[in-house]
Formats: sequence, C-alpha cells, structure tokens
Amino acid sequence: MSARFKTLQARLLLTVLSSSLLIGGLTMLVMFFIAYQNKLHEGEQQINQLMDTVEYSAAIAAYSGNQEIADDVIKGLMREAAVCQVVLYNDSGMYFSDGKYANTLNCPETISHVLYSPFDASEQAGHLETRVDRSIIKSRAYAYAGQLAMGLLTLLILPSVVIWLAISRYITRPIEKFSAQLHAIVPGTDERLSQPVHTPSEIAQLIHDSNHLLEGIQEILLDERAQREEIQRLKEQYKHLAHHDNLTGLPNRAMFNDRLSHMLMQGKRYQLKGALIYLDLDKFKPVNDTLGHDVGDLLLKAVAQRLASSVRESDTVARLGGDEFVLILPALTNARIDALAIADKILHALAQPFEIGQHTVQIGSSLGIALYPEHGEDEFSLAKHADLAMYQAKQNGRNRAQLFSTEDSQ
Amino acid sequence: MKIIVFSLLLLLSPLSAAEPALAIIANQDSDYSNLTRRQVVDIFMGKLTVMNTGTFPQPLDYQGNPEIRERFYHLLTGKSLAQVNAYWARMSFTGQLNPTRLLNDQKVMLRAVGKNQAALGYVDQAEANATVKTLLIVE
Repeated sequence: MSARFKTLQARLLLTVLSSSLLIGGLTMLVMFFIAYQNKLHEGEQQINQLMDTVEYSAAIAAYSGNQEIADDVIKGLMREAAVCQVVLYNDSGMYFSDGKYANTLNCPETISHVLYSPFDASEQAGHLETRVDRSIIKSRAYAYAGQLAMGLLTLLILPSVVIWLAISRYITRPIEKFSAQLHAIVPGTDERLSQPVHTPSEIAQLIHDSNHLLEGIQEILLDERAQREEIQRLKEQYKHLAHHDNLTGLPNRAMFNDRLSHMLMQGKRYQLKGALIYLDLDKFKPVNDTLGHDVGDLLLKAVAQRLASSVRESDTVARLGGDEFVLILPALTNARIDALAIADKILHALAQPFEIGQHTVQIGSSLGIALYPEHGEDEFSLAKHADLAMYQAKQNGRNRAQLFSTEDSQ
Repeated sequence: MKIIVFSLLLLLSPLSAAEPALAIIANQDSDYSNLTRRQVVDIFMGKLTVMNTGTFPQPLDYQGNPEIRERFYHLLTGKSLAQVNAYWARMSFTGQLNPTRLLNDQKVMLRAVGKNQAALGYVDQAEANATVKTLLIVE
C-alpha cells in the first residue's frame, strides 16, 4: 500500500465509503428483493382488480349476450399491457375475444372469473378469462424495485459523502496540516504552527497549545545554549589560567615544564640545539616596597611585554613567580652565540627605564644561560644549571648574562 | 297504552307485512304455459326474445316508477328498480332498447293482455281475473 493510503484522510474515506457501500448494498439488495416480490404480487392483484371492476359489465354482456358491452369490457382489459388475451364466454355458448398474441406460450397463465347473472346471484352467466403476460409484470416489478433500490443507495451514500466531507474539512485535514507542519518544525527555532482561520475548536486549541510548547522549548534551548557557551568560556578561561600567569599573561610554571620537555624531545629526535635562560630582575624589591604593589605589578607586566617582543615566536617566555622569568629558545643553529645574543638583547631591553604612571623606574636583570645538550640533556639538570648560572650572574654584580660553566657547578 | 301498541305495530310492520303477491298474466288464448321465474326475468330483461313455441314475447310494464313495478322486480330478482334502470341504461348505451311497452295502470294492463296473444304482463294477484291467464304467482 502506498504512503498516501496511510493518511487519516484516505483511511477515513475508505472506511466511510466502504461501510456505506456495504450497508447500502445489503439494504439495497434486501429492499430490491422485497419490493420486487411485492410489486409482482401487486401486478397480479391489479389484473384481478381490473377484472373485478369490469365484472358487472361483463356479467351484463354475458347475461344479455350484448356484443357491444362485451367488446367494451374486452377492449378495456386489453388496454392493460400485461394482458395479452381476453375471452368472454356465456352460458348459451356465445364467445367473444381479443388477443394481441396468437401465441399463448408467452402468456401461459390464465385468470378466470365466473360471471353471475345480474338478476340472480346463484345463476352462472358465463366466464371472463384473461391471459397474463408475466414477463411484463416482472419487468415492471424489476424496474420499480431497481428505482427504489437506487434511490435508497443514493440516500445512504449521499449522507456518507457529506459526513466524510465534514469530518475531513473540520478534523482530518486540519490534523494532517498540523501534523505536517509540526513534523517540519525544528525545535528551538522561531517557526510556529499557523492558526486555522475558522472558529475555535479542539484542533485550534491543540495548535495554540503546541505553539506554546514550542515557545517554551525554544526558551529552554536558548537558555541551555547560553549556559553551554558560558561553560565553554569558563573552561577556556580556566584552561588559560592553569597554564598562564594571571598578572602578565605569560605561560606559567606548568606550561613552562611542558615546553621545556617538548624542546628536549624535539632536540633529541632531530638533533637540535637549544638554550634555557633564567632571569631575575634586579632592584625589583625596592620598587615594590617604595612605590607599592600596584606599580610593581604594572612593572612586571611591562617587563613581560619587553621580554615577549625580544624573542622569536617559537621561543617561550614564562614567569615562574615574583620577579623570576624563564626563556626557552629551541632550535638554535649556534647555541652559544645565539643564546648570548638574545640574552644581550634582553639585558638591553630591560635596562631601559620604564614609565609606570608618573614614575620612571630603572631596573636591571640577571640572566643565567644553560645550553642544550651541552649543559644538560634533561629538564632537571638544564634547569639547575641555568639557575646556577643566574646565581653566578648576580654574584658577579648583577645586570649581566652568565653562561653556565662546569666550574660553577663545583 | 294505545299509542305504545300502535308504535310497536309500526315498528314491526316491515317485518310482519309481506309484500303482496303478483300474478304474471298472459292472454287466455296464448300458447304460454307455466313460465319459470327465470324465464319471466329473461323476457323482461330482453334476454329471452323468442320462445320455444316460436312466439316473440312482448313484455308489458308500467309507466313511471309506481309501487307495483318496484315490487315486481324486487320479488322477482331481489334488485331495486334503480338497479334495473341502471341495467337498462347500460344496455341502451349500446343501442339495445328496452323492449317493454309501458302502460298506465293495471286496468289498461288487463285490457292490453286480453287483446294481444304475445303479451306478458303482471298485476296484483287480487286483480287477476278470468279475462287473462295467470302463468305464475310471484311472492
């Protein structure tokens, strides 16, 4: 069965029409049969009644032997199409007749009435006989019963069609439309069901309520989306916080560890050289103490900016805490020269005065450089050696970069 | 008391008083012998137009609708005069006329029968005298 037949409309049509056809057909058959039988009986009765009507005249004709009256009676009876022959006998052997059909095979049935003398009911005056064509009575009964049955069928089917039309107009078609619209709607969008134009009904109420539900769903979905976005944003924020220093925005110790591991791994795999530089600001504590933490913080931010702009994009500048910074310089061609060059650049950059609000702040920095793989092949030793070198730089009078040397470690 | 008896008599009269009998009469010299009631009816209704003896019967009746005529048909056929007239109306419609000759009264009837050998008539039984032959008493 095709998809169309699964629609309510089609099923309704099928049910209403088939049941009305079935009931109508059965009723029609029964009514046809009853009407046919009745009409057949009636047809025979009619011939008898007709004969009763002319009986007195026929009796007079038989009694008196009057030709004209006999003819009159016979002609009258012959007017009935179902009568094919009329014979009138009287007791003195006189005989009158008329017949359309010489062939009595068509009309084998004879209806005979005894005629009595008009002046003596006990005296038989003659006989009136008619041959009846049953096929004509049958066809009349058939036509009558057929018309009745057709009328009845129409009477049964017409209301069914009207009922079907009404149901489809007021119930199934609106439901189909409603269903199709609802099916096409994407939840959470601005789409709504169109309200039917006709008077308020259960379906109109259903559509109204469905729209209300759609409204609610949209609100809920929008809220949820907003919440999801907020959660995502917070997640990003926390992820950033977890890997970055809150004040300067530079990678923090955790990220620094990752990057350092990464450099070592890459270095091992591709035989690359690199450097690790520890950096400590000189004279930061006095600034913090005399000008306040706010200025100190602003200074740290400015330092971070200068550091970031002094290195390559592939390099990492991280803040480990306080005024301690660290730089990872991976993939150096000539590790020693390149690292020293960058260290010098940084020294110079940080030696320039900082304008923090109304204050001009002058600080310096001490850098300790450890080269990979020359001064250590793992995170721990490389970090230890860079730290040692920085300590050495401070020992040597600050504001300088100190390359790690094996002597220092002793 | 007299009034009550009179009233009762009036009430009972249709039941107790039988219709006076009639005599069917013919000419003394006619060849009519005893007629049956049916023959009389058939002659007066125009059915029997020739007797076995070869005589053409001539039925004589009364003009207008006198009581005796009413009684005659009633006693003979049980039909009313109106029904008999209707029969004749039906017959005359086809051109067959009533063959009876119509006379004024019983005296004329007796005289007419006395002069015509084919004539048939009827009078009250009491009126039938020796000038005519009584063929049948209709009661």
